[in-house]
Amino acid sequence: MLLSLILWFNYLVLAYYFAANGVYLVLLILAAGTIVNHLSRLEYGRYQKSIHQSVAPPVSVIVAAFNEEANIVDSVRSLLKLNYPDFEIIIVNDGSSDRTLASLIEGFRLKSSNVIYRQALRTAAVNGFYSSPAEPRLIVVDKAHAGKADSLNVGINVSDSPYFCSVDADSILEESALLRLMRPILEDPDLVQATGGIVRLVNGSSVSEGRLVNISLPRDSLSLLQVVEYIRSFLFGRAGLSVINSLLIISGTFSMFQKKTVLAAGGYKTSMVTEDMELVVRLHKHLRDKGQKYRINFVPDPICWTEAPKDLGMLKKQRRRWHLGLAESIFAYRSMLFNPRYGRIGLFALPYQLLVELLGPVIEVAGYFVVTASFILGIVDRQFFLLFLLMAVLINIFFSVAAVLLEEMSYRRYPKLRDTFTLLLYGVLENFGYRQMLSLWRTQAVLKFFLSRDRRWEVVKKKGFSKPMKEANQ
Amino acid sequence: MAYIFVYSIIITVIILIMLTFAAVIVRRFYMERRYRRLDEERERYSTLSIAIEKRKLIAYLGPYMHSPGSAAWVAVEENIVRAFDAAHCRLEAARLFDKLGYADYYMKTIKSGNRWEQALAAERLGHMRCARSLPLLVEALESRNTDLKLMAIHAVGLIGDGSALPSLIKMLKNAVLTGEEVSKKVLASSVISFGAAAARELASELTHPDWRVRAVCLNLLGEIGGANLAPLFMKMLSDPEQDVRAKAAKGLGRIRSIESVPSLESALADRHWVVRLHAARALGLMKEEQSVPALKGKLADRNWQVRRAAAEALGAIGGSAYLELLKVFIDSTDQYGREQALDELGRSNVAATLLSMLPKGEHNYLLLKEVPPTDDKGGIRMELLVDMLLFLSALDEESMAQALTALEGASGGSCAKSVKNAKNRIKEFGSRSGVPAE
Repeated sequence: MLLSLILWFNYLVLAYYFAANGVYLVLLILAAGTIVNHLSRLEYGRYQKSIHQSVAPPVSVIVAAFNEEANIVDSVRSLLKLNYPDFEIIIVNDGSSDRTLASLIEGFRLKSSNVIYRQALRTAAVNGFYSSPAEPRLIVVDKAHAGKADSLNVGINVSDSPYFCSVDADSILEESALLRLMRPILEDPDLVQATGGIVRLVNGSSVSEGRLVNISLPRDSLSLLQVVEYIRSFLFGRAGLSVINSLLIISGTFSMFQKKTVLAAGGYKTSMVTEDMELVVRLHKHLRDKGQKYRINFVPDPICWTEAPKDLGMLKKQRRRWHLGLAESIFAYRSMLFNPRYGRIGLFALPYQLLVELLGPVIEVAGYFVVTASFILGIVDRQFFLLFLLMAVLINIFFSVAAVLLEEMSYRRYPKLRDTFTLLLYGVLENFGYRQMLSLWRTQAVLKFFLSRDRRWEVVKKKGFSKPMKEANQ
Repeated sequence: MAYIFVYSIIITVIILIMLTFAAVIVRRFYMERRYRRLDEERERYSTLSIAIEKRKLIAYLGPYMHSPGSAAWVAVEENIVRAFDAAHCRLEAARLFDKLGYADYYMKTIKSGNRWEQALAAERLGHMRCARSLPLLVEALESRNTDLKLMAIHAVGLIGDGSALPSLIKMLKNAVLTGEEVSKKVLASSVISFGAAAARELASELTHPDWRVRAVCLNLLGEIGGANLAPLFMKMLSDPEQDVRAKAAKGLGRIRSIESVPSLESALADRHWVVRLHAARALGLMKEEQSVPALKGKLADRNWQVRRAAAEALGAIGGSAYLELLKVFIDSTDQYGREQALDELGRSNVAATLLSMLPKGEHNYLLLKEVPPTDDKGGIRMELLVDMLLFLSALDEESMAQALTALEGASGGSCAKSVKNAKNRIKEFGSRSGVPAE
């Protein structure tokens, strides 16, 4: 009986393995097409600069900051340098216990100001507003701690613009970031409801006065592994899903939304571990329920840089949180799963997230145990077992290397030849230990989702951006 | 069988990995070589844009002529495009663009290139204001290549030749009425670029039976501006459709037409809040003191956006309008009106300004100067109240009556009542903030 069960599980793992990799392959091909198209279109993207100012929709950039004293001033400086005709920056201090608010007040000479706070979305208490005569585009809101989603809702309430862009406090945006993220909206404002961009890791690069001054690969292996992982995830995962309008995650680190639609959908949900995916799935549901034609687009431009955890403990917390959030979002919208009413979202995007992204790591970890048991029990032939293992590793290496090729084809943000070889090397190395470790943490998150009621936000502490050598020595 | 399957996959994947590796490395070397070459050419031709900027006439064009797509071709083009960004260089840059064969090349590409090349060609021809490419660009407005169409719309606007206007306005109407898939924003930007020439065409559409067309045209007219449009906007203030009336009010604000102030004041009573909102904003842009009473009345509007616009308009007018805001804060029984007045006074930092203007003397001794600093985290609004109280409590009854009379700018029949109200307000907020009331 047990042997038969193990045998069937092996078949299941095998079938699952080929199906999942088949989907990845399709996404890779779609992503390559999207990137070629996008790069060709960039050639004439300059036209946006000569668009009449009055037709560029105003944008509110909303930053939720909780204990971000390390990066917040640099981040705001980077935001103030954005090249866009009409934008305001709303920083929401989410009851930080460190010097986040004080750093902002000192850094930008803020003064308390009097603003009527209207709650289109219900939020925690707002303590006060700060503004700076020198920077009229900047407004800082101080509020009681209630999480990122609540802070973003406060930002939406304060926002004066028809579009808002959520940006993480530990991020650096390139000057043209808003222009590029707004391009799909400008070209089809009635259709495009939200856009998201590529997020890259700032580790190893230097930041000065809110500007990325030297792009370089990090030196530590953990950050390098994350760089390759981000390239793979963004360049072919999201770019591929975007082609078929099946994007369920646009990173909260940098995403643009039409405010009216988000308000109609009810804003960010404060009870979720990861608010970004939940909102996007809800937008899909809301718009499909209304029968509205829409698109949620991914812009494959590396325009936002963020800091990645530099130690295993923080990385573990981050990944477990992301996966728990994925589980929560899928569970919350389980009624859409395999529901033809929701078209490709119900029949492909959500099942893909459930079966490949959420349960994939669980099946992988279970597979390691069961296939090894099969091998020990003699159910699987030794040679076949080793060959299968080799095949699995090679396929993973192929996807990692293909992602590096997409990076090379497209943006080449890392200028040195040595960087390319390093990325290729880490594309191979990540399959020996790193991926398995991530799968284990993700499996823990899935188990936690089913077995535990405790879904508190696991805070990931950042160390701050690296300064250029000269500044650091001062 | 299973072995063959796995072996074949392993071999295929190994080949794919090797090919991908090779592709990455070959591409890296190829691109490095290409960019190195381009950098060399950029360096070689870097003096071209400087020469254009210094208004030097480039007579001998031989060194700048290259085959399309070569690094030298790209480098020369970049310099011409860069020079074109400065207004005084445009004529010479356009001449070079034409004489060096770029215009001909892009005019050929717009017809025969792939979809991206076509769109790029349209963008470049527009950027260089190449007037002789206009027929091709107008033709491209009908293209099924959406990118080419988009770039052609933009290019036609940049060239600004009025003969293309009817095509653009026809497109605009189609986009509004039939939802034709074209960016209304890029189309609007293009039409606005024509300026006064577009105004005539747009004005003739204001009698269109569909209100959406009238509203869009009126909005664009507002962006184009021009004092001569005021009578047209005032006429449209009586359009049966609210959106059209709102756009008319907005347009009047943009052109700051003083003679339209009475019409806008009447529009403050419109039954639709969007019209009232734009009328209030327009009056704020005009900064006419005569509008203060009408705007003051709107501080108690049932719609908060109108209340805010009215307060902001009063703030923009300044002077006696601040004093009216102060009076609303003191006298009004409408809580929303008081809130809004306080909000605007806070934004304008009026309290501090008024305090700094107080003459020093015993009778002006600040009764509340011992007030402990408020906890910002707990109440920024309270801090503002204390500011206001500092101002008011600095006055004895007689001074307050004088101040309020001055605020009224008239004899101030209701002054006694206002003084009483102010004192009540001091008492009310004083007890709330721990401030000793008089």
